[in-house]
Parts: sequence; C-alpha cells; structure tokens
Amino acid sequence: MMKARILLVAALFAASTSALAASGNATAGKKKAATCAACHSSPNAEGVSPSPEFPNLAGQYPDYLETALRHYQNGKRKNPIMAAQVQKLSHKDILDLSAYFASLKGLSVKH
Amino acid sequence: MHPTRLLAALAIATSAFGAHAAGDAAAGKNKIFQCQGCHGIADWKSAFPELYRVPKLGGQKPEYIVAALKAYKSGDRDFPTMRAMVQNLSDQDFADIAAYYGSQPATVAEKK
Repeated sequence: MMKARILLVAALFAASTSALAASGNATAGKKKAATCAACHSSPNAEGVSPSPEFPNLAGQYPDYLETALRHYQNGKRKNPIMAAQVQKLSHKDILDLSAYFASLKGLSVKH
Repeated sequence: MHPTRLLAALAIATSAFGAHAAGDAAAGKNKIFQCQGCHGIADWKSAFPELYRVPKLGGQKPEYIVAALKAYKSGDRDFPTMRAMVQNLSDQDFADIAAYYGSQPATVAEKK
C-alpha cells in the first residue's frame, strides 16, 4: 500500500514536470509573432505594448500566456480582437509564442 | 488648494486617464492585500480549475488591468477565483489597484 502510494506520487510528479517541460521554442515563436507585434510590441521594445489598451507580454509567465491564448480560443475569455487572432493557432504555435514573449525582459512580480 | 492649481491638477488627471476613473496608486496599495496572496508571490500557481502560474502584474498597463478586472466581473473572463475577488470592488478600486501595479517602479524578480 505504502509502495503504491509512493509510486503514485512519483508518477504524478513526473507527469507534472514533464508537462512543464513540454514548453515552446522561443526562436520559432518570434517568427510567428509578426501579427502579435502590431499590438503587443513597440519599435524598440518587443513585447511592450504601444497602447494602454493592450497588455505588455514581455517577461510574462509562459504557462499563463498559454492558458490565456487557449481561453481566447475556447471562449472562456471573450474578446473579439483576440478571438479572431487565435483561431488558427495550433497547440505548438501557442507554446512557441508563449515561450517567445516569456523570454523577453519586461513584467515582474510586484511585492 | 488654490482653485487654479486644483484646476490644473484636474486637467492633468483628466488628460492622462481620458474618460476612465483616475487611479490612485497610493490608495491602491491599501486595496491589494487580497491580490498579493497570489500575485505577490513569484511562481505562485493557480491550482483550480487549471494549473498555471498566475500572471505577473508589475509594470502592466493600468488600463489593461482595469479592462481585465471588469471582464472577470462581467463574466467575459471565466475564472472563478478572480470572479469572486472582484465582485465587491468598485470601478474606483479597479483604477487604484491598476495604478498601483502599473505605475510604480516594479520590484524585478530574478529571471530564471
């Protein structure tokens, strides 16, 4: 019983870490981010929005960005602009784009 | 305050924030104790209904933060924790909280 529990915990841990490890490729993401840049990048600061209406993405956690993009796709987040943008993104596109924006310097945890 | 000065201050505040409620970062600092339980901790994860790190807010655009908070309140963003958090907050609270996170120099967390 104890052994089974330990195995279960180990399996869960492995699953959670491998899920995190299945991350995107920032270089590939940069190539896919041309459309995003129109609203989410400034000429001299990638991932820093030129407009107050649109969020900065530079430095954001990749797993948060992935979740947000998925939610725009499945309608958990309703936003007409983003709904149109994310329609054709594959799972891999979402991972790559998130990795790219997360790799940039920008947002921080404010204490 | 002298009326002319007050008028000037109002003009600046109005132009800076357009039609939105003007946020007061100092007031916001006193309204974020609940936010900080998740957003003030590096790498803090939301466990339900999905597992991911909650977003960094330091240096985010205040207007965007307000829009996001309103969307949680209206249901345009479907996330139970945030929906519960914002239920009793006013537009002024939103503006103040957004000003706090967005307008002050952020403490930069170590990038890994």
